[in-house]
Amino acid sequence: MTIREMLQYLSTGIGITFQLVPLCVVSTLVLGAVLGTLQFRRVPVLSQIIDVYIVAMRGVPPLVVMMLLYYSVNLSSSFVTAFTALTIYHTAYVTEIVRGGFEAVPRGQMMAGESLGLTYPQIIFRIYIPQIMLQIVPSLCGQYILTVKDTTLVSIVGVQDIMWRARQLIAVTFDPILIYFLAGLIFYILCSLLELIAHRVERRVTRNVKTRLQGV
Amino acid sequence: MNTTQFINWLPELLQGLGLTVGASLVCIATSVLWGCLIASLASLRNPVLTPILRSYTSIFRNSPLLVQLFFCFYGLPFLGVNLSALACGILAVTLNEGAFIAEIVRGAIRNVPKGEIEAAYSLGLTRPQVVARVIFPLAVRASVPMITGQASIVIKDTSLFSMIMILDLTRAGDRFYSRYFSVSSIWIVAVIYIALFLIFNTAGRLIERRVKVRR
Amino acid sequence: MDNRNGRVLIQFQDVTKTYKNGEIVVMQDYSFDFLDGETHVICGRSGAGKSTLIRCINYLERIDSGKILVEGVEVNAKSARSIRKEIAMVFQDFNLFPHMSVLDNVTFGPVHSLKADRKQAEETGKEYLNKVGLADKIRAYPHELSGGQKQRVAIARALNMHPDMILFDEPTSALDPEMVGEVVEIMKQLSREGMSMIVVTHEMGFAREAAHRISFMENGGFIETAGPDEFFEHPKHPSVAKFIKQISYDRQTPAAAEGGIAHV
Repeated sequence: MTIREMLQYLSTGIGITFQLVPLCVVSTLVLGAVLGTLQFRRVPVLSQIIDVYIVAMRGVPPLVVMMLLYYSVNLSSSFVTAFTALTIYHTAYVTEIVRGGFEAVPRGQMMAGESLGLTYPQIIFRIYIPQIMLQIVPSLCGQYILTVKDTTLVSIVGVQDIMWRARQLIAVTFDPILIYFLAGLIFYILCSLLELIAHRVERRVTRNVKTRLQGV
Repeated sequence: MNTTQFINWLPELLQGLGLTVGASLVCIATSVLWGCLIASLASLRNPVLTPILRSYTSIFRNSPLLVQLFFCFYGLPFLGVNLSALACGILAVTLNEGAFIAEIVRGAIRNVPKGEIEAAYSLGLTRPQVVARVIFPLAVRASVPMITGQASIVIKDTSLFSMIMILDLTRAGDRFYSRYFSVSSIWIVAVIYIALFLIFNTAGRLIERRVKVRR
Repeated sequence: MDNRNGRVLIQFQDVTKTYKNGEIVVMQDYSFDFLDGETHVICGRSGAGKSTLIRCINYLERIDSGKILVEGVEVNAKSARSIRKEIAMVFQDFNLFPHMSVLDNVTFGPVHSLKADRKQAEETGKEYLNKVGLADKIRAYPHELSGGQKQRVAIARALNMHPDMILFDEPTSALDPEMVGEVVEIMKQLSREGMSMIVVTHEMGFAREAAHRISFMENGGFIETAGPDEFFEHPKHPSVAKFIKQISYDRQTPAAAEGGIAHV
C-alpha cells in the first residue's frame, strides 16, 4: 500500500471532521451568542444555571461528555451523538468568549445607547455585536482549533472517523508510526490554517482598535 | 446503581481517581518543566535551535493529543522503545502540554518590560545573569495564571489514558457501565472531574496570589 | 561646593547617531567633554535626542560612527559591562525590579555585578536608603511605593554601585507634580556633594540652582552650552531664547502651576 493510498483512505475519515466542525461552529455560535448575552446581562436564576453549566464544562473532559450522551440518550445516529456532545461542550466556551467580548466594550456605550432611547436588544444588536464581531474571531478560532482536535474522540461513540480508519489501516499495514504521523499531519495542516486566520484577523483587529483610539 | 454494585465498584473508582490525580500532578510538573526549558532555549535565539523548537511547539499544539498518544503507545514499540502505557501517556501529555506552556512562557518573556531589563544591564550584569535573575523570574511569575489554567486542562487530558488501557477515572466509570449498563457511574465520574477541577483551580488561584508581580 | 577639577570624564568624539536608516538624526558629528565633579543639565525640546545621548554612554544604544570615551576607554560591546559598573543610570520610569524588595533592588547590582559581599552591600544600601529618606521602606516592594519613593529607591540603587557618575534620564517626568520636589531635593544634594551627573530634565528650577553648565540640544548636537546665569539671562541662540521665554511664560500660566512640565 502506497502512502498516497493511505492518505486517501485517511482523508475520507477527515470528511467527518469537515462535516462536524462547520455544524458545530454554527450551533455553538448561535447558542453561545444567546447564552453569552444572558450572561452579560446577568439574568437572575438563568445566569446562575449557566454559571454551573460553564464550570461543569470547564471541569469535565469532552470524552466523558461524549460517553454520558452516548450511554444515556438514544440519538438517531452516532454522528448526531458526536455533534450534540461537541456542541454541549464547546458552547460553554463560546459563551464565555461572547460575554468577554461584550464586557470589553466600554460601559459608556451602554449608557450612550440608553440615553439615545434605544431598547436593550437594539443596543446589543446595533452597538455591541458589530463591535465585537471581529474582535472575538481570534478567540473563536482558538476554540474551533480545539473542536477540530476533539473530533478525534468521536470514534468512541462509533463514528467511523480518521482515528477509526487509522486503526483499520494499521491492522493491514502494521505501520502505526507512519499512519499516525499521516493522521497527525492532516490535523496539523487544518489547525495551522485556522491559526493563520486567527493571526490575520488579530492583526487587523489591533490595527483597527489603534486607529479608532487615535480618533478618540 | 444499587448499593452492592456501588460497593463492588468503589475500589475500582478509587484506583481510577488515584491514577487520575497522580498522573495529572506528574504531568503538570513535567509539562511545566519541559515547557520552561523549551521556552528558555528558544529565547537564546540560536539560529539552528530556535526554528527547530518553534516547529516542535507548532506541531504539537496544532495536532490532536489523541494522535500523539496513539503514536507513542502503538508506534514507539516499533522504534524499539518499550514504555509502559502510563509512561506513554505521561510522555504524550508532557510533549503536548509542554508545547502550550512553552508558548505561554515565550510570550511572557517577550512581555517583560524593556526598561526593567535595561536597568539590569545598566548595573553591569551579564546576559545570562539578566536572563536568570530578571527576565526568567518575571516571565514565569507573569505566566502563572495561564499555566494554572493549562493545568486544569491537563486533568482533562488524562481522560484519554482510558483509551490506552489505563484504569483512570474515565475507564473506571466505563467499566461500571459495561458491567451493569447503568450510566450513573459516568455521572459520578463527571462530578468528580468537576470537583477536581475546582480544587486545582482554587490551588492555582492561591499560587497566583502568592507569586503575582505587582507593578 | 564646586568639585570640578577640569578632568574629562566622558568624551564624545564626532559621534553620529541616527534612527530609521538615517531618517532621524540624533547626533551629527557631535563632540563634547563632560567633566568630573560636574552637574551638567541637558535640556531641549522633546525628540531632540537628549535621552538617546546619555543612553549611548551606557551602551544601551549604539552609535553609528565616532567614539565615546569613558575615562579614556572607548564604549563598545566589550567595554560595556565595565563601563556600566562605573556609570550608573536613573531612568524616567524608575525600572525597579518588581519581584524584589527595596533592599534587594539596592543590593542587586553590587552583589551580582560588582561581586560585593552581600552583608557589606546591605550595609551601604541601608545607608543610601537612609540618605534618600526611605530607611523605613527597606522591606517594602516597589508596588507599595509612590512614584517619588520609587525614584528615590532608584537613586539609592545607583548610589550603591559607588559610581563615578550618574546619568539621569528625565528622572521627574513620570512623577505626579507633588512628588517632583522630593526627588529634585536629593539630586541637588548629590550635586552639592560633588557627584558627577548628567541630567536630562525639564526641571529648570533644578538647572538654575544646581547645574554647573546647561546645554541646549537641537539639530544633532548642543547649540548652546553655558553656566546657569548666562544660559537663562543672556541666551545667545535664538532657539534657546525662545525656549526660555516660553518656559518663563508657562510659569505664569495656571496650567503650568498645576503641573506643567517646566517648573522654573
